[in-house]
Amino acid sequence: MSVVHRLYHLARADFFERVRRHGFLITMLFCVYAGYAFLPPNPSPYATLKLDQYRGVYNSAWVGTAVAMLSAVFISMIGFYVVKNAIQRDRHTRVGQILATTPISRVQYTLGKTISNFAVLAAMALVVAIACIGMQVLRAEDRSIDLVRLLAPFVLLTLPMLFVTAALAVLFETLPLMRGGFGNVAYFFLFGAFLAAGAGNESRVSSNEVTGMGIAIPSMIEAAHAAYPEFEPDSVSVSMGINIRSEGEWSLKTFEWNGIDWTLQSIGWRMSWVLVGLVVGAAAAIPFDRFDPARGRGDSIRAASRRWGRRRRATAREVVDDAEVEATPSHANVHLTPLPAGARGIRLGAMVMAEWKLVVRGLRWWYAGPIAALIASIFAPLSGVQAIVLPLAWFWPVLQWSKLGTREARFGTGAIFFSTPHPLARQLFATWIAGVMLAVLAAAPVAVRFAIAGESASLAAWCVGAAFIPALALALGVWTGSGKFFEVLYTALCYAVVQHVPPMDFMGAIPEATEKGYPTVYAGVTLVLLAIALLGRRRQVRG
Amino acid sequence: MKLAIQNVGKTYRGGVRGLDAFSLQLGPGVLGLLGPNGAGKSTLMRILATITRPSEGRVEWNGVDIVAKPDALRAELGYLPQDFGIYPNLNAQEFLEYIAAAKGIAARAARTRIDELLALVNLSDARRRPLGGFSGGMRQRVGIAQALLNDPKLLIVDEPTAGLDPEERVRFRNLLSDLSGERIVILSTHIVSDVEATATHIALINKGRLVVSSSPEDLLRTVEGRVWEWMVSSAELTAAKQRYRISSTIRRSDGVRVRAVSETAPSAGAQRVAPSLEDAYLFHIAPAAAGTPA
Repeated sequence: MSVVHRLYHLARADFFERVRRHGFLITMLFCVYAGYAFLPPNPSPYATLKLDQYRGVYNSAWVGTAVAMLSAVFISMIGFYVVKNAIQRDRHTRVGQILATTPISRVQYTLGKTISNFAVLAAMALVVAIACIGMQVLRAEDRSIDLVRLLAPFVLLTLPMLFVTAALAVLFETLPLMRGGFGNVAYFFLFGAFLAAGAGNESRVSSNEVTGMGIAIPSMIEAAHAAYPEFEPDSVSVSMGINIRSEGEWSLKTFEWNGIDWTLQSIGWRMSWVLVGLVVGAAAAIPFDRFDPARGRGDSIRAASRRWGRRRRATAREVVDDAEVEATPSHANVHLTPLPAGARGIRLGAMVMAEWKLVVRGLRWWYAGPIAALIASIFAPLSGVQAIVLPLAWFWPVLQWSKLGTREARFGTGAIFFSTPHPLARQLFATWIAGVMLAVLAAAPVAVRFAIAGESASLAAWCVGAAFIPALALALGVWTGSGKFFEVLYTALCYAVVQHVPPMDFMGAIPEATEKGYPTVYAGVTLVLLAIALLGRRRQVRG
Repeated sequence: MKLAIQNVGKTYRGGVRGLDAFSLQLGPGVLGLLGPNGAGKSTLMRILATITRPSEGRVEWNGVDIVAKPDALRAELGYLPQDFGIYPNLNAQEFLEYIAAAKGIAARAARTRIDELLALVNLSDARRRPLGGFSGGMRQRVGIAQALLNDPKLLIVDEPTAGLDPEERVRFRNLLSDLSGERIVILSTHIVSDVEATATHIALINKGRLVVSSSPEDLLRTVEGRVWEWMVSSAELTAAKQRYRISSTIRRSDGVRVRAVSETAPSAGAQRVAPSLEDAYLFHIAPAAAGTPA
């Protein structure tokens, strides 16, 4: 069997496995909405691609290029998390154990997964592309459809970036440190930093930048300058994203732009990103453990076993070899004491403590965060504590919160736990309370500081935040079975809070958000999230 | 103490019937639920364990409908699923403490119970070792221990001996027998010898339907006089397999000794032998081979 044939079948099976899930349909619907949202009318409360106060007429060239670049950015951002489970699925379903015994090489495997990831991301881009054809007609600024001008940017701008994203997702999955929640959070910041670094390069000189802005923007600037002499090309501020106007609406002046003149050089530039993707995808084979439990995750278990072994020796008990433990059953006649009357009950407190032990299990260096928050809360000015220390203190436990509500799905313990008494009210509530306790542990000094300063409104907002975070984690965890969505959404929320976006302030870090009554909104949202979590768990419990 | 299963059916997505008009009344003792793969055993187990809701029918625990009020049973239920997970970074002691809390067992009573159960399943020495490093058999024993934590009145064990070594398997069978006095134990398996050793009542299930429900003795009586053993040559074996429901073959120097279930003597030299549960299982579950005179 040829390598290409093998790669094709590996990618094909993986692709079908993903697209036949209900979640994929939701992703596609989201893409249709994205195609709609990327082309706002004029005027509009938000803008997507603009050069200062200007944008192109919605002809095929502008629609195709603008949406292709926006798709490249947004699909790379969100799509990364959609596809970053290809190897994990093989691990979880144990198909990986079978694949590991086949002649497929590690490079072939990681490249096959890269191609499969790319196929999923490309399918998302295709849906956006089809949607934007409809949008050009709907917006009716220029009704003549030029399919080449409209679709070429998707092929040459969007797809190369998506290929790099697909390969990065595989690389993250093969790196033990990046495989889990830490990798999810790290990608968010790396991606943001990468875009911020690239955004400074969209000058009048063409450049090979991964989103394609370096190829498209210079000619757009030229066209705007030709149409409007007052347009300042040297000091232009290019904005690409969802740019919401704080007050009023964007009323942008439009100009005619006829698209990118594709040259061999620019096409070569874009193809070089495909090459980068191939290199990254192949490089992912180096840390890939080929589903050998003795590598990767197995290491942590072995380390835990070693710790256990050290403890046993320290107690000077008789050392029993592991194999011996298993091979020599005791024949002692063990008597099972019947449970006394009253030994069974609701016992919410015990359940909360059990959940709490799970939440804080294995945390050692983690406590450096709350200690740092304590020190900063004592010595920093109140405004700094509120705006910086609080968001950071509550961002620190993101990976602990993201496990709430997901353990049953992750570890397959649902059958055991859902057959115990009161799995809905008692267990779920206990999990949420444990999450609230974590919030208190992480940022209690900030609350004390608010109390001392008499900032009762901020203190109330803090309380809402402590309730909101685990409710969000629980709702997303129960419904998705994964902590990934919470990690991404929560990271974005915290980032928005640090960036001083009042509507996103769920924790009382921005005084004007508190004044505008956002804590009340988030208190309501918390109740809704708890209800959603309850519904999700009810669905799980009832099979 | 009574478990009543009345006309229970389960239809999965796509119209696949997992269980069909299944009815059974159970009192204290060990019910051995036998059936081939895909017969509906695990579906029934999950319904009884309040994990899955039936599409139709009622399940009553001491007169209470557990579909409507599952918590009425859960406090008295011990369940060992066929395929269950553990938290790999917890040790056996911590895992059992966590489940004891989930089951609402008082801390002091739980500690005593966990000590005894760990000794019972022979994991006392490994109690502080992370579960992630446990072998399949050791995990299974943790599963058995968690099922017994709350001193259940209804104990449901789905393929409990899977992964256990022969010695542990014997221990577990004995344990089930010991436990059955004042509780209902439902043992689902396709290993006939496990049922043979422990069950006080047997239900055979096939294609989602109850085929037979009786005591082991009555079940054996259904094949009394129908089990035969005779010698064939190696060349004749294939033909014999096509013609009769063969329960075992043993190669010997003078040919192959065949054991089969048949209404009439398969050959002139065939001898009637005492039936085993395996013969009875085969008689009721295995389709009659072409030309079988059964």
